[in-house]
Amino acid sequence: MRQTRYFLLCASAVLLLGLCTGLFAYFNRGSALAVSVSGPLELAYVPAGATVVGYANVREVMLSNFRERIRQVAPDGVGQDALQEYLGLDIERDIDHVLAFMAPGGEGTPAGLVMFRGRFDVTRLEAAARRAGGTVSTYGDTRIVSAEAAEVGSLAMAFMQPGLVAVGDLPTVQQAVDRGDGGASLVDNAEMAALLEQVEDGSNAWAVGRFGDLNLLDVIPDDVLSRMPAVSFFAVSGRINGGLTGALMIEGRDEEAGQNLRDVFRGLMALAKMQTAAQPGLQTMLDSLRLGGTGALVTMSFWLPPEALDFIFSAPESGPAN
Amino acid sequence: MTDDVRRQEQPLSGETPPFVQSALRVFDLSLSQMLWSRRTIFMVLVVGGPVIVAFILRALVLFAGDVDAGLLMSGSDLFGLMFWVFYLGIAVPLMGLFYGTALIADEVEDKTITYLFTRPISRGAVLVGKYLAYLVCTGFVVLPSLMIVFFLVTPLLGGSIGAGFPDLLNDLGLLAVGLAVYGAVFALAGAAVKRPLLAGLVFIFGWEPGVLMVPGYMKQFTVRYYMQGLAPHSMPADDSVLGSVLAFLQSAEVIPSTLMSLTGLAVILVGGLGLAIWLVERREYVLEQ
Repeated sequence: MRQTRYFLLCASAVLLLGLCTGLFAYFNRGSALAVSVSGPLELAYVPAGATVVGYANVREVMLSNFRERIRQVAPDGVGQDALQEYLGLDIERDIDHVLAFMAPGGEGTPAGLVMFRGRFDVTRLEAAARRAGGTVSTYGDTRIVSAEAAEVGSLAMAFMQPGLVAVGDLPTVQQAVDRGDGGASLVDNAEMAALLEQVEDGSNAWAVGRFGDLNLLDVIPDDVLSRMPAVSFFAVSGRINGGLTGALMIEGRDEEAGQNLRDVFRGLMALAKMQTAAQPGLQTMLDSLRLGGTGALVTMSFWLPPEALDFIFSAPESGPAN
Repeated sequence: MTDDVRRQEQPLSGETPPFVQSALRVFDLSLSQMLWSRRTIFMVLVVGGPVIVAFILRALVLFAGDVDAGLLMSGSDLFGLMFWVFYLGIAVPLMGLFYGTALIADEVEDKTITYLFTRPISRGAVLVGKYLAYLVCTGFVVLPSLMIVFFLVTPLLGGSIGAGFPDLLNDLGLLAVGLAVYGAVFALAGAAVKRPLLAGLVFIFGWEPGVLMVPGYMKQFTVRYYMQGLAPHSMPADDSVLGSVLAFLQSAEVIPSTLMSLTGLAVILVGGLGLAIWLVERREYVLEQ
């Protein structure tokens, strides 16, 4: 029958067109990271073996009404005036975004680095470091200000590029400089690169990490680590825009671990819902929780409305009764 | 007055065509008949509804401007919700019910089964041919509908078509599997029960949701239980107090693994269709005058 043939052809065409378009979109989608970090420059300084990598788009957060809520909690701007006076740094205006990582260090200690992208008064920063007893040296083509700190060894601040400052322990800073000159970095680690793909598009804060390597960092006691669930990877991302939307992805070591984690989250959610029935601010957040995932994967998304944020930020003011 | 319809003896002059060839012949005949029947109106309503809802959502977002701050979910979440509620919850079981039960029951009701069963082909091939026609007929309506809804809804409110594409492939596969399994279950019901539609409605809207809510092993006797294990999207949460209590009670429940889900669905599909063929081959259908 002719109309049957036409119908089947049309339906096939819709399916084929959709599949081709989807496939094209899938292979040409921009990396979530590229959207958030305005280019992969900072990632070139992160070692391939990094355990945890985190990012925050300070500029976007400060432009949102979230800033007002921070001011409610910390009226003095978290030492903003002191920073402005000594370093000429206005956190709300001068810093665009922050990227930080932790990786296993050389002698069983964790190595960490925080990179700030923004507008900095380099002369003033160097002068402040000198006043505090720091010394300025050059490593390769990079100026590094370092100072001895009793407990953590040498702390250093490097001006990696115009508008990019890295702060961390001296060996880590020097390794980052070397890495920027063409060494292997996080983008060469397929496992972590795949994990970065899990970051939600448009997030202005995220963190990804490998739980398996946490014991190498030596920052969590062994007995705590042994009690932690069998998690391999995690990725958490959030977007602040009026409220706060967030997504969490956890990968268990196997399907059983994934199932256990989903069960734990499901039970906690149900318990929390029953206990917060009289608190509309938290109830809205709990209602927005969406738990999912199959196999070893656990996913959870949530949305905190502005009212819930008000409730949370007002909690410290209300005292322990709340 | 009734007339017993018995299996026709094989003609002496010619050989019986092979099973597959017979089934394909019946498929060829049944496809157009199935596609342009009165049920098509029902099918268009069932799968057209989500498309209309998707258009309305699209228009709302287009004309309402900055609405993302006020909504709880992104376009991907909305699509996941629509997939669960409209497609897996309603369209697939209902289509399986209305078309699956009709494979044999309609022929009996229309008293045309005599003409089919007197042909020199096996009765099983008739059922398989009609079942294949059901799969193509419903699949080519439901899958494009889901595709259209995906492209309309997913890009909304920060969702990404590229990021959601793997889930779409999973969803398309899940719909095809769902249609096949529900079709087999209701083909069996159509072959075995006198009022299969009523029994099917009770199964879809009574047994499956009821058993799934109660902790225990009984949920293993539903199709939806195994579909849950294959769905990439989270099931919509029930925010009521009752939903919270049930969620708490079910916190120890285990969602089947992918392998278990696939095995369960395969057993239901093969078992349902095999039993239906076995029944059709042996049963004597009595046509009421």
